Amino acid sequence: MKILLLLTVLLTTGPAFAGIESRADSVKASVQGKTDYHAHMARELVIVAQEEKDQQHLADAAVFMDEAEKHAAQSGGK
Amino acid sequence: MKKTILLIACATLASCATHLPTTEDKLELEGLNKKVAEAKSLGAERCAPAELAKAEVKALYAAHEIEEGGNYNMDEAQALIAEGLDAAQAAKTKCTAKKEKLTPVAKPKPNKPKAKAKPTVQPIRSYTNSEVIDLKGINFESNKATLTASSKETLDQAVLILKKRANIQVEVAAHTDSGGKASYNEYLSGLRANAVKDYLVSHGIEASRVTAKGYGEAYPIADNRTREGRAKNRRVELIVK
Repeated sequence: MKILLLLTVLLTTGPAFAGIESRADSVKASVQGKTDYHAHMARELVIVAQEEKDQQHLADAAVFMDEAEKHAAQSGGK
Repeated sequence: MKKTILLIACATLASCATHLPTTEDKLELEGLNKKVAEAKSLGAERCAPAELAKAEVKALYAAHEIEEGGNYNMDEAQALIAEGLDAAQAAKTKCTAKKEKLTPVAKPKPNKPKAKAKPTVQPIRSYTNSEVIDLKGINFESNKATLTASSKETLDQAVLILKKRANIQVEVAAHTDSGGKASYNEYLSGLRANAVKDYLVSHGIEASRVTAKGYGEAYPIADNRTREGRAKNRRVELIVK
């Protein structure tokens, strides 16, 4: 029973964790070398999203990551 | 045995207790948002994008922490606000410096007959280019350097700010309106600046971080001919050095 529960937790949270990380990498890559306001906003928001992810707050991490991606797009990086 | 279990349970519950956001935290966040808006109005998106972004995101994150309610971490939110304030100030300083650099030097104009200059109010805070923390709500008894009871609330806020921003040194600058003799006003404002300094020091701020100076009536920020103007001119500020 315990093993089943652990497997369920792993299967449900695993992709979300990986999703935040891969999105973070993508945002960072898209604003690399850029120094405009939106690029800086994107980088700062990625840091916050990753902090939230580390605290297991995946929903909050996703919200900050959405914002980061919006800024990255405005910086012309996506 | 039962007592031990009860004690352990109480200790566990106490350690799990969380703080709720206070009005002070919300006010500090408002202060940070105001600083961010000021930096933006100086064009920080262009002249200090990194500093502005940092300040803005710290404000967002602090707001998020405060709104979290049950999971609220007071120290974390306060640290975020302090970092945001530093970043917003850095943005403002950078933009102001750039503006000064870009301002072209005025060419000397041919001699024209000068119109007689009208007496004007001096520009706000012309005596400093540093960050100024307004201490609104500080009042003294008439013609004395005794702080009124209502002033202490504002001063307690100032103590909190100075404790959070432990790396700054400040000058307590006291000003009067133009009523009475200028020499007396300078003397009285000096006494009042020292009274504020004493309060800060007695509430845990290191004396080496605080100086005090009375500017008398020399730097008005409003018209001394009106009652409202005079009330505005009677003020105490903290100048970040």
